[in-house]
Amino acid sequence: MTESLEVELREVSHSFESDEGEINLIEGLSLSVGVGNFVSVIGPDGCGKSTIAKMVAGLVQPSKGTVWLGGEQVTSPRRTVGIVFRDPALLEWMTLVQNVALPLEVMAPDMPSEEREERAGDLLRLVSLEGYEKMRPAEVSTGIRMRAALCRALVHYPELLILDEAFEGVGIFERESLWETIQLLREMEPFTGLMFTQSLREAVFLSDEVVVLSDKPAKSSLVAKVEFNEERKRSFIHEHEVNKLMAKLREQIEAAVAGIELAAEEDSK
Amino acid sequence: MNSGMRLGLGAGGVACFLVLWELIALAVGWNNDVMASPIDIVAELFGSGLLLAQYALDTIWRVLVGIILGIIVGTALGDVMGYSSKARLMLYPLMRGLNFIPMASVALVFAVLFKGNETVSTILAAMLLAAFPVATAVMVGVSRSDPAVDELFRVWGATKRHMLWKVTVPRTLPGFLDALKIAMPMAFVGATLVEIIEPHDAGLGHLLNSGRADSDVPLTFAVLVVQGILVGVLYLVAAKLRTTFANWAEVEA
Repeated sequence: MTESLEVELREVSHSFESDEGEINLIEGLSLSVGVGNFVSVIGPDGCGKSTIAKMVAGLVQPSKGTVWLGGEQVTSPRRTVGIVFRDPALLEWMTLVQNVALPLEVMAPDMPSEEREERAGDLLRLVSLEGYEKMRPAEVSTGIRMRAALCRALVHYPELLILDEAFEGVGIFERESLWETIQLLREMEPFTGLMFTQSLREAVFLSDEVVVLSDKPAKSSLVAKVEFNEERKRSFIHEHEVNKLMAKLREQIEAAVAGIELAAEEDSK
Repeated sequence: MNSGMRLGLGAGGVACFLVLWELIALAVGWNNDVMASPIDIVAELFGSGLLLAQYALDTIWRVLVGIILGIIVGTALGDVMGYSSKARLMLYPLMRGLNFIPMASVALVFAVLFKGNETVSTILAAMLLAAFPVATAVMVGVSRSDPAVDELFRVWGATKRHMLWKVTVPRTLPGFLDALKIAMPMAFVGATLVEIIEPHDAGLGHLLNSGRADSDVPLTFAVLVVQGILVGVLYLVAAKLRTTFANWAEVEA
């Protein structure tokens, strides 16, 4: 029986014109994420991770190939997606609860504002931001802003959460805490996750599967399953097996950066 | 330092200045056709209160009409320049160039162009000076973009109306209200200049000219005091609007 897919990229290529001529950013990339799974995509800097994230969200159209979301081809931005960028992009003139409720204000204008703010407040409390609801983004730390951005991405119950290097600007302790927050949110309100990151630890901690991209033009060079049965707490990333997997992934990324042809698909176990 | 202490120090500075001025006036023994002392000015303010109020009203209503027109014209120009880079390249140098011309010269040109219709030239001068800072602030606010916010709104399926009311207007508001703090006093300057250059029996500028013609120094100083108070009030109104509607922009991380 085949697993039902939330996201599928079929032979996707993307190029653009620059002063130095045509740049091939992505070439023949295929990638899939099963419903309810959490997949991380890691790869060298500038290999097109953000462009892939935007393709899945419908913000960028591929030059070749197709992107599918929930069985439908993506040709325009999709409301079934929640997205968090590296920049939390909170509106400075709104409080955190207003920021979180904003997608509902746009997507469900008939929903009473009390209901919208109640849903936003519930999410904020879930990520330990009780008491911060009425604060403005400039009054809180980067980590808190990022938690609020996460809540905003999930407030409309999206089928897919895309994290585009979302935690890159956050300090390591807060970052680890955010990983646990994602785990908690997945438990409370299950969603499919697609994360683009440069952090191996983050990818291994959060994912069911890690996809390694080659250097530009990006193609999938390795798909590693992260099959550990134990509950993932912060100590999980110091386990021997986890470190072995990370070492293997690191080798693959270094090989990708060096431009070495890589094996197409390989399981970690 | 708390605000009460700051206010006290400011008032103390003004009081010291006035006492020193009064003492010099007493020591030198100036006549009222040469120089006025603070006590003479206060006496004039009370003695000619009705006259001052009547002429001040002429100025105030024309300044307010000029400010309103300046806001309308400035906002429209700022929108056009903010949304269209071609319009910005065409209009902004012209606007900057016009702003470099001394207002006193422009007031003279208005006097020639609108001879016999001084109210129009007074309002136009006020409008011209108020429109420039407003147009610049609106242009900057409207043309600024945040790609991450724009992309989020696209994913949510937001309309242009959503972008306008949820992003563009609030983002432009602090700059616009800051511009009003400059525009309001500037409009007063423009109107007064026309009143002085083109006397027509109305406005504080005219009263200033009368005081000068009659060598009535206390009256001219009383007019200055009234003008100072009115400009101060306009500034305070703009500052209050800024803190009321765009207080978020003051918050530091």
